[in-house]
Amino acid sequence: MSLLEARGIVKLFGNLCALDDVSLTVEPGQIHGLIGPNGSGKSTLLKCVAGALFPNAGRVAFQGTDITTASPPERARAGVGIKFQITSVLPGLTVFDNVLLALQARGGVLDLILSRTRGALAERAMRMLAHFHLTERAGEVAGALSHGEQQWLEIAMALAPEPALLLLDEPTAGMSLEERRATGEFLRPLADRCAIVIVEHDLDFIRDICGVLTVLDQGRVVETGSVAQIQASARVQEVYLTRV
Amino acid sequence: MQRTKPDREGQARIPRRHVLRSAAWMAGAVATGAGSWVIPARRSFGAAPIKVGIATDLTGAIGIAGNSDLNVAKMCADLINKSGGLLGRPIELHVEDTASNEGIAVGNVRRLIQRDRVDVVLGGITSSMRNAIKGPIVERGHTLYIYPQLYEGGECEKFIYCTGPTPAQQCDDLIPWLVQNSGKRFAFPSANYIWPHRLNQYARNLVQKHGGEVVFEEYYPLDQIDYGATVNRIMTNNVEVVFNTVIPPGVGPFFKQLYEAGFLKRGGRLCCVYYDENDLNINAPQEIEGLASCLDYFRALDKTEPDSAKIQAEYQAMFPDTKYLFAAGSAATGMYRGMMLWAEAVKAAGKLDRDSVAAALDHASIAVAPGGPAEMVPGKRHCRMRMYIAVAKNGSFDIVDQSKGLVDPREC
Amino acid sequence: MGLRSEGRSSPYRVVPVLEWALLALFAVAPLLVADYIAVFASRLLILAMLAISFDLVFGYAGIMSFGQALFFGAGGYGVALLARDLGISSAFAALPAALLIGLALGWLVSAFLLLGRHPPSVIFVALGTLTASFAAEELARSWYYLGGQNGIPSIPVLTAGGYEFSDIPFYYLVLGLFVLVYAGSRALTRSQFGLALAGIREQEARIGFFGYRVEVFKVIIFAVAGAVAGLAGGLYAFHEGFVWPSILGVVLSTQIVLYCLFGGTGTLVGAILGVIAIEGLSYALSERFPTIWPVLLGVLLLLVILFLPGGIISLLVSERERVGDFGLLRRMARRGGRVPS
Repeated sequence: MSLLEARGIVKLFGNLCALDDVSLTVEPGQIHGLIGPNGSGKSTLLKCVAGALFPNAGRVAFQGTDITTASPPERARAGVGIKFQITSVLPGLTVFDNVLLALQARGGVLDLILSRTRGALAERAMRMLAHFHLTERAGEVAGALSHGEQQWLEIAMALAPEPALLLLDEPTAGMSLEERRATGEFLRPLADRCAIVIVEHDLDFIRDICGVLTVLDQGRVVETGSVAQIQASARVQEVYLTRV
Repeated sequence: MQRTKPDREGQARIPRRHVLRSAAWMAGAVATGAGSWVIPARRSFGAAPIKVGIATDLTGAIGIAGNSDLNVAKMCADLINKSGGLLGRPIELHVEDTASNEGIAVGNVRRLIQRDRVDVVLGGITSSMRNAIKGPIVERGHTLYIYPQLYEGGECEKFIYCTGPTPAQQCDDLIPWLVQNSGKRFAFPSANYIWPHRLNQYARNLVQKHGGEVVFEEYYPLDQIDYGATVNRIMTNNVEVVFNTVIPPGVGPFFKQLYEAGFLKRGGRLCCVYYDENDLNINAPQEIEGLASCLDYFRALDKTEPDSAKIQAEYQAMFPDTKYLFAAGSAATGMYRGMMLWAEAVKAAGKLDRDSVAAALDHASIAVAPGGPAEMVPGKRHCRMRMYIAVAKNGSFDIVDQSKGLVDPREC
Repeated sequence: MGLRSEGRSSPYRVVPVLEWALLALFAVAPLLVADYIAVFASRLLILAMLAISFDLVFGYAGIMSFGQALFFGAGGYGVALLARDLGISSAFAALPAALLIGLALGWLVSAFLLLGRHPPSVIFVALGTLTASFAAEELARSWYYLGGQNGIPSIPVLTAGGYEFSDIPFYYLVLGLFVLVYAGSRALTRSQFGLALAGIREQEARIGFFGYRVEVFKVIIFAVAGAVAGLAGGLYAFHEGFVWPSILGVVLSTQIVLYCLFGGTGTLVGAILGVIAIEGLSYALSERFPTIWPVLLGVLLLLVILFLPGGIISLLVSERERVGDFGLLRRMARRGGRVPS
């Protein structure tokens, strides 16, 4: 059984067909890259999986359960985590509290009111920050972090509730070369814990860390396969040569 | 009983308050030219002043009525002090704004009771205001309260004395007069609050008793402006008398729409018992020609009643440029009676404690008041007074009838 | 020692100082001022409780409630009816009743306005609460059972057993309840629940993707705020001895918003300062400038809101302190110094 099976997804924005019968399969432990030119429907597909958008047709199954009509919190509780393209850390809160906010999300309301899970979650939050080399910054407000650090914090937050599937929309956008390299270092070991789907423009970055790639163009899947297969694909060549 | 704590307040507070007040006086004089908040007695008296609390709506929606009440209170205090004060002491007014807002009023009125420790409070115009401030004054403040406005009746609590007209006083002569002079078919278009409900209840009985009928009795929201449907109903049902309790802002458009529909032309009669000289300029004179009102005083009385004329002249002399008329509908006449009846009661009692003054006030009477003499009905805490029926004629009121002697309030 | 040095370096200084100073001031006030000022101070505390209920929903959860007076007035009318029709003026019955009325109404209104698949817009919630408040006022105005326009007068003094809470004892009762409400609100907003509220306030659309069922949190905080407003309303009814339609209405609802904007939202203590400032000013101004005080007050409010968008609290408290953290970092630092701060 695949971890995620999206079948025949159609998403219309008015007359514009953003996704036209797109299917995507993600296996456990996979780091799956989603590439394609601007406007090819990559982010839209991620949002349909996370529940930020609801497809006009098709179905999404996660761990064998149909989640096509489930709300975002239901999907999150089932084990889907997402980092959106635009960073949405809470700039006024400390870095630590940002992670705690994400970590405690699935707890019961009464536990939260009585602050029962605080102690246990604190250890996990610090481990998460340590993984992204943010330990030193834990007590600072998130707004004081650099753009790259905010992206890492955002990934840490998406990762904090230990999802089985992590969706990352352009995690390296706006990062320096050095920061991109570090991001790759941070992400690669995560494959042990969860499958990751990454939307990226940086093809070098994708080639470095992804095992499987799916190429989208104009709302359709052009090709799916290993990095080598994609590089060899004539259809992909055509898309990138004529459009990019 | 007064609770006393003279030393602490007297020593600790006066200097600071004095300084603040001086500063505020200057600022206030620059900003508004307004007078003092305490209206002090003249210096010629040796004795400590008797404190009279005035709690009325100086600002907000009904500020116009409240200011004329305050003016009347000032005038009465002046008259009393000029004639030697009470018990050899001058009287001093302590004024608080009830601001047409019950929430602000309660706090401000408490100042009169708890800080100034006044001997009596006069004021309040609406019934909701009376309800709001009677608690702090009477029930919790153990102080005498005099309510001056015409109202729906039913205020029978001890130590509250009402000096304005009641439904009985406004209707007992008026309704028969209307049936006789205008017709038997009545309509009761009304604003939806308590005064119209109670007044209509009383008036309906009288209409039926005198052989008339009430074609319809309807209640509208207080802020309704369009009365097309009501006018239509009045016209198609051949209503002869419109006994109106719609209030501003709706009343102006209502009368105008009635006029334009031809109600007056076909001989219909408007009637509105709260209408005094203040309200005559809401509409053009022809739109309310013949409107009948019944109150305890009209300006037109100045021609026939020397006492009323004198009071009116005194008011004009004391407030030459005021825009606040001395008129019955704004409780000014009730305020006059209240101040003077209370003064008589204090003189008769010879002391100031609440129970003695209340006992004397219970049967107090005065010979001179706007509209004629007045007296309290013993045990009823309401006031007998003369009532007048007046009709609007070319923009002013003409007296067309008056009660035989004093009319009983029929309350409590 | 460690605590001290941390206290000096951390930004958390002003709010606790303000809180303790205010508490000390209110605790000794009746000994220093005349009785009528203490009675006025009871009113301040009751209104401050009401302002705190608004701060809980708006300052912490970002829900723009233009209808807090609805819960306040309903609590007030509830105890007025208990007193008038059943002769109940016992604090043990009346105050819990007021609290529960506010809680139930807060839950109902928020379930109606806030539950739904998509988060409702700020305008929708503001207009919805405003309308509810308006409708309640109109209902009270036209319903004879509630006294109509004239309200319900002559509510007796609050009692406990045979004891009557006259002016000063009532003041201390109000102060005691206020401290409880304040401490409870402080604990709630600094708990993990409070962290979730901060998330809702700042990034409502985002945090659903962590697994938060945002509506549940909103309904809870709205109902809690309703309960606080209801309790305040019950106290107010006994304090004034009178309830009337305006205490349910739009004007008071707006005034509550003004208290908080004037004082500053999201600190709790700012709401108290706002109430003290506005009520104190109108009390003093109405005495000194009888005819134009409402205009003066209006101009002053306008100036503060224009030039101090964070309210007067922003003069004293930094944004960092206002948002604050949720207790954990400092506690960990205190315990073992594992987290640098």
